Amino acid sequence: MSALPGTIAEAARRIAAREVSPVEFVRAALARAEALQPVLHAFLRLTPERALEEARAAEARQMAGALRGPLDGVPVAHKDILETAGIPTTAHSRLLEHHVPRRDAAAVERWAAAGAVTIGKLATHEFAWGGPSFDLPWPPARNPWDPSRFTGGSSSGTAAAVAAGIVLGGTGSDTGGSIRGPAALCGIAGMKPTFGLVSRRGVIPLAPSLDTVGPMARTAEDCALLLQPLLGHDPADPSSLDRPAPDVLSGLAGGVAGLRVGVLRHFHERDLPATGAVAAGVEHAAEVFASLGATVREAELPALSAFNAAGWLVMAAEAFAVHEAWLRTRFRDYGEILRERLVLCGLVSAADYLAAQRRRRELNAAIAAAMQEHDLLLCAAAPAEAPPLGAVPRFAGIETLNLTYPFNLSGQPAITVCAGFGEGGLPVGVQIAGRPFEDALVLRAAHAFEGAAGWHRRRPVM
Amino acid sequence: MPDPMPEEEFALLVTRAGIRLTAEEAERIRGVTGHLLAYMRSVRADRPLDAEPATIFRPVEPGR
Repeated sequence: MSALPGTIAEAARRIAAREVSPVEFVRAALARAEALQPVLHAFLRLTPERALEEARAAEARQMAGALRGPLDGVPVAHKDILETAGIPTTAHSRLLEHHVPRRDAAAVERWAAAGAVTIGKLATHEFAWGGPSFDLPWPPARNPWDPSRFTGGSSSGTAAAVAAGIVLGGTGSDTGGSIRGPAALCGIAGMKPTFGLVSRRGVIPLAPSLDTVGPMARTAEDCALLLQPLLGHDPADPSSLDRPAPDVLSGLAGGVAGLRVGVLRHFHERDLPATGAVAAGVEHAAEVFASLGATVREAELPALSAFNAAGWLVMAAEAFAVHEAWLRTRFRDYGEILRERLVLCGLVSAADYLAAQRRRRELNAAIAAAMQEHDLLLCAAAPAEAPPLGAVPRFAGIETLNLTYPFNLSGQPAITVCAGFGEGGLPVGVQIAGRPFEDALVLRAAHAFEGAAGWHRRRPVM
Repeated sequence: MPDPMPEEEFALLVTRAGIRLTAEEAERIRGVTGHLLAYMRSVRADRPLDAEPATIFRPVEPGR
């Protein structure tokens, strides 16, 4: 057997049992990537030489009984805002079309050290914000459940490649929901860890007080396997927390019995009315948690609009600081969507930014108070199933609200998992959020939900 | 749609940012500034003068 299995956990078992060589897995991933590229545009480039070299090294370790762990020999790919040595890292932008870093980003290095095999660089929204755009050097990624539909963003290529079974995992980054949003629209799992637990060295920034790197995969268990080697202090990243890396694997099967789950219904019922399928997904998840022994109750936070106001202003001011010089000198090299959003960002004053940061602190206090009553919060991840690519608002995030900002502002861990299917067989997702540094509990709850609900087993036909 | 930023103020801020827009771009972007102004109003509140300026952000572990 050489076809790529559905999950990292299964791939690891088969590699450890010597049923299959990592070289076979990687060849299968590369072949599927090439076959689906004309439909999905998930990749900006494949790196077959590097991939096969790494796969052969993994195969040698396999034969020597010296595997480095569950990621050894597993094909993955990286969002193209994570730098890769000797391989262009473009942020999906004309501005960086010829940017070739000298060193891998910390997350790329850590997965490589764990034996994961990089097969290529993945599409993103331009500089992790402006998309879907059709005026860039590369087209936007498309949703494997229906290629006429949006993947969500900005970790668009990662979501598409994982959902389509091209790779078993990939990196995403989440500033205002860029892991959890596409995970919802593409029917996979996507984890935003606690801010400061995963190094951002070598990651092209969007808004540094919010940017978080995390894993995307088919399941919460795979997210845990991918997250574990990313955890740990990195003095090269000023936001990296100097504390022991938490263990997110050993308690994964612990279940949710006895936990208190708060359901944030007002997010999707009152603040941002969602489709019936999304509402049904949240109710379904609440019922599953209750059936598994959790205590499920209503939870309440400030209105979503308050989180969006603070989140958008913080992100805007920081993004403008990142892009200010290029906006003055290379304005027309940006795609239209991003450059027009960045013009709006330039209207935000220092006083607006500080007022937004103060509001952020107040909102975080409200979340912290809610989390004294609840161990976990459950809410929708996106207000609807994936829209047609042409129907995404140009100024999304300011013309429309999103459901993911609250946990970016607070820095707490949150995961999206698939919770059902709606219109046209398109997936819907729910978010499960935990207290800061309780990433293991979030993954444990998501794993329990998936085991009982089973939605993660459904795959797009491609 | 909330009222957009007045044209003169918008033009001034865009110029200050060092960005040159076509008239069509300027109108399209100014058209959504009402949402931006609503966000700006939303984050302002009466706070004590000594309120913590919140320029430093760090998640807090439960129990610490």
